[in-house]
Amino acid sequence: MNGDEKDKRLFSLMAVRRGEAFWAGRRAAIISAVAEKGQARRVVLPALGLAAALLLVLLAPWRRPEPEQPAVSAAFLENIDMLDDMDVLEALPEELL
Amino acid sequence: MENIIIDAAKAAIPGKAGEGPAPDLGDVLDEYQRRVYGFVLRLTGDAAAADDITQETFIAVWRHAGCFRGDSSLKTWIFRIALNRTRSYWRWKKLRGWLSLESPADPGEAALLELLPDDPAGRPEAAAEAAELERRVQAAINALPPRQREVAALRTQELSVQETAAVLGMAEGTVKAHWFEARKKLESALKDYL
Repeated sequence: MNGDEKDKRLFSLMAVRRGEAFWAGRRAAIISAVAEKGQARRVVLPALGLAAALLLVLLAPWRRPEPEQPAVSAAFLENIDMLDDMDVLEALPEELL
Repeated sequence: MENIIIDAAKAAIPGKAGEGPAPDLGDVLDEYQRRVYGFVLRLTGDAAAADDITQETFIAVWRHAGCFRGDSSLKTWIFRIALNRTRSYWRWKKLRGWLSLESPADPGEAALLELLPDDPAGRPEAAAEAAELERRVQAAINALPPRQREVAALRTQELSVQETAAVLGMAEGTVKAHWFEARKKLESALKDYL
């Protein structure tokens, strides 16, 4: 007996033997499971999309614009500089001025 | 109901590029259901696990049909999904064993009653013989090292060496070496039936 014939006999021996009713039952179960998954996808995907859209809408008012840098800040710094200068100026003897 | 699902899945399950019209889910099940079940059963030795994994495999085929690029044949793609699911099952089972959530048992023994044919000619002797053959075959497969077991389970579903190599991501020479060893052990264990 050659290798191919040996393989065939072994394959035949190791085959899973079940009745037709078993295979038909399993086939129906798979088809049914696929149907359930398909149904779930049709319901869940639009629901997820809707939830994401709602989330965006609800969160939108909380997204405040960045506060503008106050225009007075530069002038304020300038004032501080001037005050500092004033301190220096006041500390100087009059004849040096 | 079945027709609706099959129609819906029809366009989603492609054939290999250039092979013509895509097969539908019904055709895919007719062609591969028994072989995938047989493959998983021989790997796990557990009929309930084989049921679940076979079902999960075809759900995955249906869901991910769009990802199938046609680089491999539909057959090797389906068997690769089944193999990955089975390996995940083994990892989960091992983890449960480590956590002592279940007692370690011979995976072939648990399924014996389920492995009986639906109607073995209506004779108790035939049922007993079928159960004994099933037990011996499963025990012989269980005794193989994991890689040899995977190769043997694929080869016994009549996948060629080339297809087996594609499913397992092995070189053909490696598959041949594993199959040579596995066949020798299986023939020795099952010599009474050969």
